[in-house]
Amino acid sequence: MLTIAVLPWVVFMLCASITLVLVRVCRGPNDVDRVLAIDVLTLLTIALLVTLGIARDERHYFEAAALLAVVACVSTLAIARYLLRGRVIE
Amino acid sequence: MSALPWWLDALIALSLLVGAVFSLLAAWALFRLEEVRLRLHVASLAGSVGLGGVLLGSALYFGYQHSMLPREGLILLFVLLTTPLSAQALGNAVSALYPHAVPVVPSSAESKGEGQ
Repeated sequence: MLTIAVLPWVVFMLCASITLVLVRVCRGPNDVDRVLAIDVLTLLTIALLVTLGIARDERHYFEAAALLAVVACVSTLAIARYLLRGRVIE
Repeated sequence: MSALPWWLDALIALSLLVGAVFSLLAAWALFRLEEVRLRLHVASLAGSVGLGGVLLGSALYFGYQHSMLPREGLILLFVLLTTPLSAQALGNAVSALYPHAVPVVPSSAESKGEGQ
């Protein structure tokens, strides 16, 4: 099966991406870099969860991925607003 | 897993690979580029494409295998709706916090000519 043969490579590439983005999180010169890298990190985690769901033929990983998508967006917007204004809620 | 026809199998594998390769490209660019705004551009572009590929593969797989309505489109719609919003907000933060940071975009001839 082609999908089963491809899945380890997909997981490997996603893990390599997560490592690169984590280096950027540690090394980022300023706050915006770190927020951006953590946002990308969340997208990569969603992709990894969905891939794991295919590999195990398990539907429940999807719920965690959906939840993570919602939380990632709201938290990124809130942190960007905090960086811009100094407070989140007016 | 055994009931997948070969074309659907190939399509799922292809979309998963495309998504993973685009994620790797985005992460490599995020690691490599040297200015905030370039990284912002790359992350907001390629991150959503990479996630879209993986989600398309998952939607095809689960839609065929369990004959259920795939809800991956929900995640994709949400990410595609909110990635520009967060990119805009982060860009505003960059402009407000670091107003003197000029984006470094060397042309290929320049960077080849005056390499440091």
